[in-house]
Amino acid sequence: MVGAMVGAMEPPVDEHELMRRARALGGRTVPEVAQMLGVPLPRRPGRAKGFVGQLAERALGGACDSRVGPDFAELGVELKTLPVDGRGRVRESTFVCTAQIAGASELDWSTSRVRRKLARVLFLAIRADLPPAERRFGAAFLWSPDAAQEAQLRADWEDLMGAVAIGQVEAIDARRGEVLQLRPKGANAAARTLAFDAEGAPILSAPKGFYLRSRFTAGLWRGASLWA
Amino acid sequence: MGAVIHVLDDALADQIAAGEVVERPASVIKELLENAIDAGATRIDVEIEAGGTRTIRVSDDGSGMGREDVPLAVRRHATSKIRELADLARIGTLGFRGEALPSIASVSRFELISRPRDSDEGTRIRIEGGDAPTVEAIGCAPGTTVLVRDLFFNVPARRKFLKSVGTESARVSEVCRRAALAHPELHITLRRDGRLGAEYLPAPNLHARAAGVLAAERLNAIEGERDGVRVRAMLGAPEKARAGAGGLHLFVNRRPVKDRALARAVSFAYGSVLPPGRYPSGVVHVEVAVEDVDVNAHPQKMEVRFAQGRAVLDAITRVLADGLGTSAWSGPAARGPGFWQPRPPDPPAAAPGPAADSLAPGDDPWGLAGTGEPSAPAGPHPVRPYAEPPMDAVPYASDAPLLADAGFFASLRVLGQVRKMLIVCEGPGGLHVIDQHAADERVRFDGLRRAHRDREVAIQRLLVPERVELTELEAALVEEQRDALLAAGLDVARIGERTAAVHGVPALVRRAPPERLLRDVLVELERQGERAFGDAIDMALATMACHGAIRAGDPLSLDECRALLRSMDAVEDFGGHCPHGRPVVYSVAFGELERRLGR
Repeated sequence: MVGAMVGAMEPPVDEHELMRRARALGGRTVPEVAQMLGVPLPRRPGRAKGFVGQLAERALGGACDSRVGPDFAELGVELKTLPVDGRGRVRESTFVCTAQIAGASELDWSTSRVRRKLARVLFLAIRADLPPAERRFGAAFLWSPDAAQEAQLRADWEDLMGAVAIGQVEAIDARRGEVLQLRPKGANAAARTLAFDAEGAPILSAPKGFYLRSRFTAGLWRGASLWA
Repeated sequence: MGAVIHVLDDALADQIAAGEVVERPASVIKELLENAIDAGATRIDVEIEAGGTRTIRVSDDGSGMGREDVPLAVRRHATSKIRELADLARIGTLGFRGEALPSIASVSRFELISRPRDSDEGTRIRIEGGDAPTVEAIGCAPGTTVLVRDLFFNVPARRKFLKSVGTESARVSEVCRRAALAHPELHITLRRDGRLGAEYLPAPNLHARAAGVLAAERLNAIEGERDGVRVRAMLGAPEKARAGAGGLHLFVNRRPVKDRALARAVSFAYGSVLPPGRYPSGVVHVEVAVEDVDVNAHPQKMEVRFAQGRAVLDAITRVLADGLGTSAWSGPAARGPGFWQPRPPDPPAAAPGPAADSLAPGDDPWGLAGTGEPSAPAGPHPVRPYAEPPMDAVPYASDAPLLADAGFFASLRVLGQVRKMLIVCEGPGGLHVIDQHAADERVRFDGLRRAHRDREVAIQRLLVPERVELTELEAALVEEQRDALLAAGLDVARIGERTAAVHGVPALVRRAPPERLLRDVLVELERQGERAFGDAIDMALATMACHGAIRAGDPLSLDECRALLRSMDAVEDFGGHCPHGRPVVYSVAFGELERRLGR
């Protein structure tokens, strides 16, 4: 497969097919893949956050919508790009999902979005430290948290959501959480969502999102026996 | 108008024919030596004056010829060695064309004296420049003596092509040496201008003869038979290899030959330790059924043709490779160029994406404007000439062992690392200096080769596949040889007309730059037309081992040094040499050190 893209954009029938498609992206630049898919490149790549992820999802036959469920619903697989540099250092944390600030006290880890999103993830490395025209796709690997990782994630999630539940959402910063962070997440800084303060009074707070710390995801690619 | 075509007289025809057989004194001596050997001689004395241009005398104690045979011997196409066409297909003698003596006689002042052992008197025949012979009886020892004076006295055009006396003498010496190598049972002497130049006493076998004649070389005896081809060889160490095949003496059924394909078959047996174009020193005797070889391919009989040429060459390579301990596969291999070259700069990244409609003029964050044609891929690395250790660097040290004794390296006491390049060790008999790169390269090569043989080359997947710009030929090769590359541990996919992505490299050499691995391996695979594919792989593995090995400049702890030495002992073959033939170890005996220090 030289010039042809990763086949028809039908959803992959199984994980094997998904991995085969992901492998076919390996080494190709973002402009190359965009050209093959007929996707126009954003005018300002630095401000088109999420473009590479969406491009990858499209190339792999994902749903390309903003639904809450996994990107590959039939397979139960979530796609996450992993921006790395030439030495394999992960350049930024990985967004998992938005946090449900309202009603946090009612939520439980076992049914949480974070757990569902991270149950099965296809990580796709992106060499992101290059000029935009040279940024290219790297290796892909499927990951599910092992018991220890899940325990870490759960502890962080419960700590963070516990703080939200008792009205400390505004006090949470990026230093909290060993592997999972809760950080502002919004298309623009003015976006606000309903939250409650420590006294239970409703407030408007910046929307928050869960992020995997880069040191955690760096451990994941090393655990996948990859080499940089 | 009368006829313009006429039949040449015999003398002129002989002179023309002599041009094919008799080029110079050495070729005269070669023919005369062959006659002597075919006559069953046990001793042959060669004498020359002025490099053989003034006088050549070859005397033997062979069967000799009677009075009836002597005149026939100097007639064209008169021979005792074949009688009918069918005999041509099974020539067991060195001579057979019946051309040599008349050719020589036509361009010299020629005299032949011969006496059979059972005859009371001998016969002398004299011919001057192809004129009518004079024959007379003469008293002489049994055997034959041929005296050739004033070679080319009547063909000045040919005489002026002769070189200096020294050069012609050296060529004669070489002819005698080849005869000695081919026939250990013979006693051969060479006198030059009255002085004994060489004497080859009878030796018990070919190996002993080779060891005696090539005493300056350290040769390893190899012997074996395969598919009806018997090979007996004495071959030198790879670091003594030369750029040409001048030091390699080849014989087919005891006939000295100069055959490029044969020489290459021998060099291929060294596997990767011998760079392409280099040939070992030594002697290789090949014996095949006489009906399977055509020695009538050239008037001087220096070329042969095999009925099953490729099979014979393959058999030779395999037998020698088995003996040398280099054959993991069917045979040849050679090393790739550019191992020690610094990594070339990355080629400018091509940006083959489309010019997006959404881009405004001057707004080119994706760097698409002005990219035009993809930049040319980096060319093949320049070939660095094989670095043979300078001879003056090793005058007193022992050579690296071709096959080190088991446990040799582990038995050494590591004294330390020098210049982050050499591991200095003490052994029972002396000091040993080990090249850490060459040693590690050998270990990794051995590991790779073993894994490849067992189809278990562990592949290290890369987090970000290396993008490599190639020529179209190379890109096509990536597609064609994908499975072979994979078997060698290189997981590569073609992702563009001239672009490939390296997804994985052999785990054993994962620190090597993937682009360089691929480029050098492709160079080897492109060469596979010259040799079996497995051998190209052998070379490719050697290339990869080199790139992935510890380098000069890498600091090593004592434990790492010891671990490396232990690994060296596990190497299957050629433990004393890196895959490209460089010695791993340089040893100096304590006795030599003491002598040098005046103790």
